Amino acid sequence: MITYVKNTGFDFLHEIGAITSFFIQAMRTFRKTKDNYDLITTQISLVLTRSYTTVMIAGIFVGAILVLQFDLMLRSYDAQIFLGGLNTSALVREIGPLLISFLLAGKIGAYSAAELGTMRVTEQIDAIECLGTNPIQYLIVPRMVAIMISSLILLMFGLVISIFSAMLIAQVFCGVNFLRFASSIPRFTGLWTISSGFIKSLVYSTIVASVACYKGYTATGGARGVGKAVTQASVYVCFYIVIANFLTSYFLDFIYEMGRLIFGIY
Amino acid sequence: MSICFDKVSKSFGGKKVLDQISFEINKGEIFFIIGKSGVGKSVTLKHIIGLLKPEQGNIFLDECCVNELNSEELTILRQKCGMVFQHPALLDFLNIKDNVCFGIRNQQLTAEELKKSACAKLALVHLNEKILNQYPHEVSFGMQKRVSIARALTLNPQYLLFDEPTTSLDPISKNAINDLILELSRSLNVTSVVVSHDIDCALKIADRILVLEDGKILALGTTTEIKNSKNPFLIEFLSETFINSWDQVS
Repeated sequence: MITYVKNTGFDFLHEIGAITSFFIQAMRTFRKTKDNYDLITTQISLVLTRSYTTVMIAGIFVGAILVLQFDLMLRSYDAQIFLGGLNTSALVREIGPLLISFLLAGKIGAYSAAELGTMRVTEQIDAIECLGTNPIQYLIVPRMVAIMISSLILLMFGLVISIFSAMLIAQVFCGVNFLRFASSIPRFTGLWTISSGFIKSLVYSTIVASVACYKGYTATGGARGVGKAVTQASVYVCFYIVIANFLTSYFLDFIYEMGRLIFGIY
Repeated sequence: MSICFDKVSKSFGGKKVLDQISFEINKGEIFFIIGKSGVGKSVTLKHIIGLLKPEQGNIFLDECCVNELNSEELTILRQKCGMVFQHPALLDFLNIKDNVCFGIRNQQLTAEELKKSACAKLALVHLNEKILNQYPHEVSFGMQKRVSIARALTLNPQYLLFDEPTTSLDPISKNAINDLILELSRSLNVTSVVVSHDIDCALKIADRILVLEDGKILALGTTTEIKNSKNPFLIEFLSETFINSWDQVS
């Protein structure tokens, strides 16, 4: 039992190390490359077109669910005035980045892992290398950068949809009109809240991109190997995101408190 | 001598795939590496182009030690080599033209020049320009193999490396690919290294044959030497592995 736990722990640390060095290698290659922008914009447009409907649908319902739940609690304290602020703050700070990253992991992460894994086992990556092109530069960098940039665009899009959906539900089902809903938003959702939401989204999407590309790029063993890579990519991403969520929340709260103490800012 | 293996060893997961093998490949010859599955044929080929690094020994290509090169030097060296993989290994998100021109896409050529180059290379493998805008999945497997050969020719290589080029092909396509290897090697005056388990084809077009068994060299010689070998291990190996083809040849 102790050996099993020890081995699992070592494997976990080894995996984290391998993924981190893969990400660093990709970013170094990105820094050195100048003519990758066409590939990156193509990948961004692919990620956005593949994800926007899912983000839109999820955004509508998550906004609606949250507002109904908050209304239930706030109504009992006669504090519905805070409905818009609390709802928006929760969306921007936590739910939005988390949801976008899970959607990206399921849709784009799995797709990238499968695509790269298939390319690996059918020797397409070796062929690229033999033709004098660095596969990290040609395949990995555009995908990673595209996932990271797209996550911010999708977060913005998803938040706008969620907030409007929440406003609509608040008006129709909770008796809180648009103006009342919007009036409390600035009170709870300041610049720091928005920034922390976007920082979290960037961290999570970096995890999605790194894990999915790493798992696909290092796939071995034919169709079975690709299947394993895709499953691992999806499961590990969710696991790492949950850990990263705790760490980023703690770290950002710490920075916020420090900033408040030192500069007195909010 | 153009390619030289000097006491090369390689293991995977504790299993020794290549065990101190040494041989030389001369300029302009068609060199076949044959053997049963898993004896290290493809591994040998991948060492030539630096896709794998040996644990021991050295590989020289034009007197340049391949395993000591860094990635930039390897990129330059690889421009001398055209590799045809066991799978056609065409990029499925690019059409045939872009696949063929992949190696020269950064050479500041106009679209017209790229198209012309793709047509010329496709003509060498007896394919016409009608398939230029098609995607790999829209053409047959045999055609994909030919396109992958055309792609390997784009950089005008001095060495052509074929990894089981006739695997999964019907007999007619097999013959066509074998004839193509012979034709290209002679007309372009390139050194061809072919990994295969097709003894029939090896005896038909090879200048010299290397037989691998359990990571070691079982035999190395011209087709006549291999055919007339009295080495009991070789006779046993050939009769065991290639009994049908051997009967036809004999």
